[in-house]
Amino acid sequence: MTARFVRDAPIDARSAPVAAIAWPLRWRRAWFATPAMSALSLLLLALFAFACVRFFDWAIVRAHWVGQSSAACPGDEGACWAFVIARWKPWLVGNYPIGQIWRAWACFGAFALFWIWVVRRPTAARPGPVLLGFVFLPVAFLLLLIGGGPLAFVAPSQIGGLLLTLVVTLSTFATALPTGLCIALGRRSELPLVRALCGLFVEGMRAVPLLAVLFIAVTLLPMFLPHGVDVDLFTRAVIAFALFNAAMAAEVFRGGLQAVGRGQIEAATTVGLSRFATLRWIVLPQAIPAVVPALVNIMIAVIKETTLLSVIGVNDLLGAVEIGAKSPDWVGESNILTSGYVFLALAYLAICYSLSRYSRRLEPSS
Amino acid sequence: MIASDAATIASVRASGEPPIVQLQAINKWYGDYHALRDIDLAVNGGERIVVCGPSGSGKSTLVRTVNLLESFEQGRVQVCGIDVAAHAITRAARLAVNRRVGMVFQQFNLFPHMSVLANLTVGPVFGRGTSRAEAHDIAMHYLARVGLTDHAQKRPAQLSGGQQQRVAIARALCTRPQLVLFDEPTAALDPEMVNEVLQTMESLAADGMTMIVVTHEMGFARRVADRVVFMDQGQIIEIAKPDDFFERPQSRRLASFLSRILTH
Amino acid sequence: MLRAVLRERLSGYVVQALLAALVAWLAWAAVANFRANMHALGVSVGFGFLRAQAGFQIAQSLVPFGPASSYLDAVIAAALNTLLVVLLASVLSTIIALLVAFGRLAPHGIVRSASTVYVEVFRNIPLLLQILFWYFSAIALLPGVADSLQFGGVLLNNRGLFLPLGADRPHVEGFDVAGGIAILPELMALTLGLAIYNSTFLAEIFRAGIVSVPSGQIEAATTVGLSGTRAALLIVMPQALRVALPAAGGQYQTLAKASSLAAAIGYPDIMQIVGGTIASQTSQALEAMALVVVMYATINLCIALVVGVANRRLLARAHG
Repeated sequence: MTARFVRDAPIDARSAPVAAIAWPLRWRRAWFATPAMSALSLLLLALFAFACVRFFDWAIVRAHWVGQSSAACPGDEGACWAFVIARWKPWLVGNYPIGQIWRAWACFGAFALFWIWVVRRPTAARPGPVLLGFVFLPVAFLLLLIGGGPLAFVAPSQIGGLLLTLVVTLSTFATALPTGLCIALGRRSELPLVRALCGLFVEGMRAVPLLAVLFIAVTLLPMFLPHGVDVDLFTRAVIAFALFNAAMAAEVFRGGLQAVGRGQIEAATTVGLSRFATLRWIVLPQAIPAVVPALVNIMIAVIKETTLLSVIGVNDLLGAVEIGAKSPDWVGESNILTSGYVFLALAYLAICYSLSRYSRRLEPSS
Repeated sequence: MIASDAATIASVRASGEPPIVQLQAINKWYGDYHALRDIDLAVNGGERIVVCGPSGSGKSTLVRTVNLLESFEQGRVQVCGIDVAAHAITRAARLAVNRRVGMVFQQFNLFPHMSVLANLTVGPVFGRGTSRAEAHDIAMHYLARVGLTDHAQKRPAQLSGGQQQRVAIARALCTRPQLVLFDEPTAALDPEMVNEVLQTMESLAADGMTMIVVTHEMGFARRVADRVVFMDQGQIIEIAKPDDFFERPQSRRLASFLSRILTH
Repeated sequence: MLRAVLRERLSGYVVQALLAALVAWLAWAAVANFRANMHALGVSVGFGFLRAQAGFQIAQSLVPFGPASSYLDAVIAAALNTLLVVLLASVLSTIIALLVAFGRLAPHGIVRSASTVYVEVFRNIPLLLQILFWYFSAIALLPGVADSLQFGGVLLNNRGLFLPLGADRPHVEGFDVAGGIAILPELMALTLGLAIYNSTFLAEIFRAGIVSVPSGQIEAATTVGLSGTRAALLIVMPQALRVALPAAGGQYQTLAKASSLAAAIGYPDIMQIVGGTIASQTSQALEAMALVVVMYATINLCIALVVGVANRRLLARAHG
């Protein structure tokens, strides 16, 4: 017969035992548990060490840092950072007149301050002011850079390099977001014609490559305008970017709007809000914060898309490197172009990675 | 080993058969939280054990330790002849144990992309190497056992909660286990479906299947259990036969628990 | 009551009528301007040019294309080239993505970190930059024809990758390579760039699918005695694919559109030939770009259809 059991004295909680396995032993357990895993670990470590050593050798030890022409970087042994350093001005501002360069620095500085302010805001803060800032900054920058009136006029075509990337990214973002929101709202309209036009626009833009839209804007847009009107290349490119990304933003906003359940709108009706008031006070305040991470992802995509400008002849950061590598001072060694590419890769990596970290920080932790 | 279940083990040794499950000095921590404290428990073949207690008492953790779904930091587990110590919980051991022990979950955990019949045959065919024909026959037999032959080709989503849980019981039986564990099998069911599942479990018990059941269904415990285990704060407080357990609780905590539960 | 309802709807009708009028006016103005401008330039309108002789060469063509071929032949050759690179890149991308997705979920710490680094690095570098790197830096570093690398019957140099076709083995002839199938460096660079860039997004999509399978499923698989690999194949993957397939389909569409970057390195695909060469040679940019748009939209539609069919079959499949 099984006996009865009764516990008289309760067992108090004890603290967890210190891990029985010391640190080095735990690594050994994790990485070298079986012969197969040991082989894999050793192989991976060896590959990693080899790659590090080779890259370090190429990028630091045998690199050439000083010089004004390809003569400074003979051979294929090391990186040609002289190329990058000597041409700092085209990278950063393109052909912007050197006398007015303070305006470019002002733009960079203003954006840096703005970005620091954005990043330091707590994630729960309302996105309204930030989005407004993103809309007004490019307007301010364009006015400052192009000038006219008291400031000397600088043609938009003289803006290049990182400055151009910054201006195009911000302009695209500033135009695509409001347009995209309107289109997303239009797709939910009760008027069938409005719904159809908005849907057609979005599906049409999603079906074609951005490069095709750029080509069309560059080659065809002048054809549809009356004879005298002329739009310069920069503006055409920005229009193409804006329209394309407006469609992308519209899709993002559509998701956000749909996520606000029907119960919310019904409740708003029962407390007597008009359709517009429901939208303004109930739907949008819930929809927009939900899609901010996706909007940041659009911005990252736009930064990467600006490289396409080099294909149509606009002098962005990538274009500046290519032009530099073909200029008479630097043409020749393939190492020079490679060094330029590596520099660009690191630059874009730094920018896009930090933005994606920020976007992940904004996502609700679920 | 403290004297918690020494008498049980002694009596079992007297009968000659080793217990089908033996937990010795099991201690488990979640981080720094002492979830299972000095657990000693032996279950014999053919016994029906019901484990109950307030939520957070560690009853589910205890049952999941038996089939090694949960690891533990100190102690030893012996299940169906397989001996596992605290730091030696290998994948092979877990697999071996689970091929002798079946489990029914609170959330059913049926495979949604397979038909009911496929849910029952996948374990025998791909885990034990049973031929498809034989697995099919075993599956139909147990489907009939739980009264759901007509639903063999349906998807789990097409069945009610009670029917899904009965399929889950059949699935556990298809691997021909020596012991079946039940982790709050009726807790996620609407009240009108609780009974059909309890009846299935009772008929299973009547056939002599060894069962360890975590549940709040006290009526079931009274009718079916050989012993009832009461747990609180990660430790076993009292073990007794159902009559003694419910009529003559000897620990204060069990008494107050029963008074809360039974005057519902 | 009916009147009140109609009155409310009236503003809607008015807005739509005005909108329709606006769109019609814009369209009319655009067409009028277009015709005026084209007339001034002396350029004809219409697709008649497709029958005319193209007169240019295409470096790679899966169908015969010579000096006497028409523009239509050029369009077909370009379309086939696009399909070729999209297919190659999709297959390669999927293989890499599956490896990386499992790598990110592996218990081995180094494998996990390596996979994460791979995804972050190749996702944040613009695709165009990656393609240019492969084309100008990596492939340009390959040895010349005279010093070709050789593995079995395969030749590799900076003119391309040459594979044997049955008995026809590639061999060096003077300054060129004769025989076998030639894979252009442009195709290699484009395929590599597209495959690696898109594999980062696909890997995340696959990983999200795998992670979305509730852990209770894996526990249940354990309790019926299914081991790790078998549980993964029978229980986890079907459910993971169901979640991942729609998003993966979208990514393949993105890949198809991104193949248009061929124009940056001169690979003769739709964008380069139709949107570039044909458009500039005939000056009929509208017709050419219309063709480009229609062709890419068709390719995307086909991918959507294939994914839709696969999705339905995945949902309908009953095991056992």
